Amino acid sequence: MKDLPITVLVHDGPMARAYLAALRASGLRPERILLLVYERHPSTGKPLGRFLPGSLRTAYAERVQSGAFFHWPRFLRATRSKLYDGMVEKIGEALDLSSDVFEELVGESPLEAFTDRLERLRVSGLKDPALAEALSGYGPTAVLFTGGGILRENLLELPGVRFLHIHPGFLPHVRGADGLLWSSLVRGRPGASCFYMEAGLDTGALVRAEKFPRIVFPRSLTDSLDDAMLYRALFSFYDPVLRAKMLTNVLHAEADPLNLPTEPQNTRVGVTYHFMSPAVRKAALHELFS
Amino acid sequence: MDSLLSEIEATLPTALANGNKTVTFVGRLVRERPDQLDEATREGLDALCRKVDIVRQVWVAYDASWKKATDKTPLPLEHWPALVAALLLAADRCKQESDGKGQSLKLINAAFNAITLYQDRAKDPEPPFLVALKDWAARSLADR
Repeated sequence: MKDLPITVLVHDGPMARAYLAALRASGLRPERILLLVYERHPSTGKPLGRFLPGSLRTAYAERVQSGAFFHWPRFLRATRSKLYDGMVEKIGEALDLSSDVFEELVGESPLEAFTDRLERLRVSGLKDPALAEALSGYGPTAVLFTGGGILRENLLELPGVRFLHIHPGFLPHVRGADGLLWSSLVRGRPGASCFYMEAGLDTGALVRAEKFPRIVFPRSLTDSLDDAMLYRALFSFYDPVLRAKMLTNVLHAEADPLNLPTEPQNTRVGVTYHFMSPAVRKAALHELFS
Repeated sequence: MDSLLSEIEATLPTALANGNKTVTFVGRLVRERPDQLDEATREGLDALCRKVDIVRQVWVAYDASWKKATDKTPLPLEHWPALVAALLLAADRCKQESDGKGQSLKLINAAFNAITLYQDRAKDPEPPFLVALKDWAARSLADR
């Protein structure tokens, strides 16, 4: 196992676990994992364990957020095993990924299994000054961002820190939300891109953009699942490993994650998409399940 | 579709004022139905997609960049059909362009969302013109 000079900023969930599992499957171990433990419940917004002492509060909050962030992958794997097994088989074959990677998507392994250096940070969110402070204490480092959306300037301008992000769309053509679905609907196949983040949405300097084979899941796998559940299945099992595949196509034993060769993006090309309406989502799902 | 557009045109003010008023912008698109969309129109449409899809609110007027509302009065319900029609007309135009499929679908997506927002706000959530707009949006999606 080779140590990779990168900090994985873990917003826990299938995406972060897919990255970590894929790196491990490639023989790579991130130098450090910084796990964000949110002070409030991800869904209800209620404060977590506020009457508990510090370390217990963090442990309790971590357990609760794990239950929330892994709810759908765990539920779907447990109750829709035909769908889960079928998706794993198809995706694993198309992306040449071992079943070990998929097993990690439900977040049952301790994060210590992926690194020798795991740190936990209790934060109110990405704007919390404690996060900037923690990252600036690491010195020059590449940080793999495992959440969604954009980062504020207080993080992007930290000296010596560069944020790597994997976007589930072929840049510069597919930016924004629901990248996997928009790629399937507009371009007929998925894509993913790795870039260094900057203030704009998916506009940073491009490390690599790649198209992947089209996968169509048989409708017979889905029983009577509604669109919302199929959407959750895609974002539990497909989107995370697509990104992870891209990550391991970029990062290898000799890679320097802080100084990967880049090309500027042509920001005049492409479309920034938003979350899909139910009607358009139905059409996109039809491209993926038929 | 012509009769639907005529019906919607009848809801627009007779004289469309200058300035970055939402009703002026969508009203011109509905009345003039340009064959091609210029850069400023594309920017305005993209901004309106954002208002509808993300902000989920459309105000009556914005600054020149469409970033800041200059009048935070919600767009009156009577003008939402023109907004939806403008998005769908623009989607039809984009679809004709060689690389316009994505933009066209983005506009159709916003049209569906705008219909939902209208229904959330209106006392009568299913007036006949809305059914016609829904059909138009569904046809545009099917013909992608």
